Amino acid sequence: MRPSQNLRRELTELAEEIGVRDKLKAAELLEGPDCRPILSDEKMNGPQKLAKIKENLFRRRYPALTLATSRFQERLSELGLKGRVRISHAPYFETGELTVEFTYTRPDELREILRLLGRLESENLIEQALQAAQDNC
Amino acid sequence: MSRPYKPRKIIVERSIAGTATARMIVDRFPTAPVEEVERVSAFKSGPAEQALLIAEQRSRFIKKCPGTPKYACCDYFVLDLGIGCLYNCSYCYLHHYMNSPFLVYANVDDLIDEVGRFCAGRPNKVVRLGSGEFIDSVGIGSIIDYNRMLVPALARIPNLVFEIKTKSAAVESILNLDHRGRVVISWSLNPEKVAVVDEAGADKPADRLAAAARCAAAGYRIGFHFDPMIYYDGWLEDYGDLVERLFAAVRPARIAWISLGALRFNPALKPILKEKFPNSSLVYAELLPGLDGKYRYFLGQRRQMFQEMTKVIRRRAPRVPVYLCMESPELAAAVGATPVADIARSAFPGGR
Repeated sequence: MRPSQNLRRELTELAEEIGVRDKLKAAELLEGPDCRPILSDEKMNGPQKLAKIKENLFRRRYPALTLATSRFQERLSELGLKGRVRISHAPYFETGELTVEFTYTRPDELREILRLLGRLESENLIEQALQAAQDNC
Repeated sequence: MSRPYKPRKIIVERSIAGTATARMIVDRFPTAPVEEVERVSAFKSGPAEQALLIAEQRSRFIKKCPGTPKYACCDYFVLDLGIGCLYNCSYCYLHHYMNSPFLVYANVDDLIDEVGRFCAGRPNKVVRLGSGEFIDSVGIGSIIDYNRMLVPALARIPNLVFEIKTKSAAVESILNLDHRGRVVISWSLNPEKVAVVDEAGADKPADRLAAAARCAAAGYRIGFHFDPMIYYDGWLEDYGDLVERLFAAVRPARIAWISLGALRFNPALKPILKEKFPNSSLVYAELLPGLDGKYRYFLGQRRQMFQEMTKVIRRRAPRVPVYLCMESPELAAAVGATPVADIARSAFPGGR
């Protein structure tokens, strides 16, 4: 595994900050659940392993953000968006801004999407998803 | 207690070298050699101890508080009296200027004139102006006694609220000034647990509170800034205890305002913090880039901090304005803080 310079810097910083915060040595982190199972997984190649380790270290370094993101996605998955509508939150949930994107090919699909969005809005469901995420810390 | 400042030399601009203010500063450091120059700008690098620069402010003393982009501005103005602080707090943005010697401006008469004109040009506004942006307004007293010159002069301006911000307990020299009840002296506060690591060069919080009590007894209005608030296990208990001690020291009627702000810093400060303050845990908290690019606590965490603190303060002092520094108006409303536009009039009802 030969990470790029940027990736190496990111991994080092994540590991160093987790190490200081959690009072762990680098070796302990490498042998822990965030790294060891990935390093010994024969199905993954080098870049996949590095990406997964980075993801795990990021989750560990930023637990509130990780929880908020998964809670938001969880709530969205309950809304029946079926892949035609994508809702994303502001970076790091710093504001209440949401971006809604949708795709359609026929006018009746558009009408259906607008009906769905109208219902979600009137029942306050998107805002509740965001609230659930922002309240997580 | 902060260490005394002893410059190795003093560099003074010729244009103000003969003024009483410049001479007063020079006389405080009798062993430091003095060099007169046309402009100090050529000497603006090197550690604070290397040289004390005494200059003439040729641009404006008054600047709009830099605030932070995309968050609410509280319409505050800052007096640029110089730059430098010996307290060396870990989170301070002055570390970006760590290779700058101490700089003070000595043309105080120009400053007073400028403030007078500035306020006269805004007759229907209460102007909030503070002197603690790049210096500690009381701590600087070991170099130049700005407050002795500024307090009596600025207290005469009818639509001005002048705020002196500090972490110093050395208030002896300001107690008897003619402040007319129109000057606010403010302390920034953190629990001892934080102060002992991250504000190690400043006076202890208990001493700051004792100084606040003395200033309140001398008739000053008092401000407190819980800024930057630090999140850690047990933060609420410690900050709650600090609030109790604050009100035991100063009764609510003497308090002009209390502000709340959570830890935030420019990403460029992160490596400096790690290197210069290895005992500080601030950078290892969960901090994320905000709208202005500065690292901040997660929004939900900040909301919780501000909500709880506002509750604790309001329980003891329902009428004291409590405002958020560098946050959105939506967050201020959500936690029940005083809208920033109302601070001056809430603190000085009747327009002073």
